[in-house]
Amino acid sequence: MSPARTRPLLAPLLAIVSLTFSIYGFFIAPPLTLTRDSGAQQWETRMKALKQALPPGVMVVGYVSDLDLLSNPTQEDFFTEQDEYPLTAYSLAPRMVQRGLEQEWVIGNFTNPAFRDYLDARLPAGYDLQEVGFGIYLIRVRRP
Amino acid sequence: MTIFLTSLLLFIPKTLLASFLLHRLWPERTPTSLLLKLTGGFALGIGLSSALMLFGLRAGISPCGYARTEFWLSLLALALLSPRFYRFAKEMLRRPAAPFGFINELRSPVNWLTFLLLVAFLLSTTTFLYYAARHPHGLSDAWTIWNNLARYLYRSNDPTLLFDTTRYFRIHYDYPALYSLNVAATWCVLGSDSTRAPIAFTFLGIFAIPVALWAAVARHKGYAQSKLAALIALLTPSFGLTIGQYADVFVALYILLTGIFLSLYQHHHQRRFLLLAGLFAGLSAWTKNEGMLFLLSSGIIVAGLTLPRQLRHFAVFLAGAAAPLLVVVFFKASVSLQSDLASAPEQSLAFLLDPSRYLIISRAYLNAAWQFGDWPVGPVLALYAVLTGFSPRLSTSLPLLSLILLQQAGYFGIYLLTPHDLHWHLHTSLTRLLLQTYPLFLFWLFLALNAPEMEKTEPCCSPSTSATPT
Repeated sequence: MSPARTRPLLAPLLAIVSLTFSIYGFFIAPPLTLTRDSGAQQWETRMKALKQALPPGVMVVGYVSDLDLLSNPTQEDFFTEQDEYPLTAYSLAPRMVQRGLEQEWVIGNFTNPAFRDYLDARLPAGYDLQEVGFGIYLIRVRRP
Repeated sequence: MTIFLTSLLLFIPKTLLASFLLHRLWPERTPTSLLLKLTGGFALGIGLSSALMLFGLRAGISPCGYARTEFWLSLLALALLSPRFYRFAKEMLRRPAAPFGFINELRSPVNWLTFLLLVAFLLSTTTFLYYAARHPHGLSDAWTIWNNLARYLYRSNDPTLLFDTTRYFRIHYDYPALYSLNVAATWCVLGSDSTRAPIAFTFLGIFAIPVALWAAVARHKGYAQSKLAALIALLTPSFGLTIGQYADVFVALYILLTGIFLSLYQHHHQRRFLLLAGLFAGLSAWTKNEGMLFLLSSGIIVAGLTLPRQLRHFAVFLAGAAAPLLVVVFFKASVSLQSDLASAPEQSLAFLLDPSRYLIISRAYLNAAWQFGDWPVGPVLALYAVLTGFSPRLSTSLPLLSLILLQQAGYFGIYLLTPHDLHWHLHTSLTRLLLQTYPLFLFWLFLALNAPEMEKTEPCCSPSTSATPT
């Protein structure tokens, strides 16, 4: 144990060391989570046009993405897309966004050009497809 | 910035009213007790407000109808109480301001701590605001669990929505709603779902921690030690989680307040402190599911302190915890009781008997504890502890250390039994579980370590007046 006389010096020393380290940790070498763009702000911007295109009374919309096009999606595929579906739901609140093609209005989030074949095979003919930008599509399904 | 400041101001009425309630229960008028009542008032205010809002929604009152009514009624109550606040403030201002006595005593190196504390406060707040502005929507849990529910409530303004999980998206429907209901209520009073409101709410949660630590450590170990504790807390706010707008910071605040009131109970043997400890432990369960475990852990520690001779004291703790627990049960019964951690008994047994899981978790714990914080706070504090040494009165703080260890042992057990991929589960949650008990750890550490100067405590806390049972 240190003598009681040196303790009053150790306290400001701890404070100065901590301040120096934290300046380094906060600004010079901050953690990746702080500096990496989470994409939430961009997603909000992407969703603006979609929100305008959706009729006001629609409270439940479907959602399909590149992930649905894969017959055997890997863990990495899920990981790549893990934020985009919740971000869509977050942006469109209070509308409920449900995975699948069962709704009249469906959001498509595609980068894979084969998505047209996927939709043609699963939706009744004559569905409307409106591109709103950034690989986001608004699909209207007219069921008899 | 205007919306951020307005959002901060919107929490004042519920904070002051709850502080007033705490003052009725604990009428001590020392500066440290007032600060504890203010930080406790914020924590109690957001807990009460969200619980009442939950019952309001169940009764069919719209989220914004409730929030605006509560806000105006709070202002009215404050206006009615203002003569009492005025008399109280006038009386307090007549007293010598002991915590600010440093101005006359800058000769000692210890008193430079106040200046360094101010620098730490400025550094921490500017860093928080800088990174919060870069992540206005927070990080993934904010938009999948916490702020998204607040958005659904505010934008729909529908009292039935919360209870019908088919109508909104949330990754864990059973996660308690204290955070989301407070954010939704702030948006309702603001009239816009600005991202500045959850930033302001998290800001208050983070900075309530060093204030509570400062006041609590000062009561036991003097102002120099308390400044040091507050400074370390200010410089280790785990920005990744707090800027992320996660509810963990509020769990950490409730856990700290529980520990503070438990230590006050140990010191004064007054039942009111157990009532408050129970209340804050219960509110941690209304913030996140980990709070349920904390309620159990704190119940065990309180049982150890009180039973078998002081059954009434233990009953008072339970009474304090009962009200928030009722809110949690009501919420879970209304929404969903399904937990993502449930697994088959045979699988759980296999996990329990697998030594490799113990090894993986232990290694992860050591790594995470060593690397905790945005800078190497663990090694720095360990070195400081070696140099200053532990106080001879270490045994009085052992219940707090036991509480931390018990809680972390509970988390260890959850990792053992988790049905999720163990590496993934550890990677995504261990840091936040450490954050939850970190402020309480700092409280314990700075109580246990030798203070840099002769211990100067307030007259209220000197040993001669401490053992007055009520």
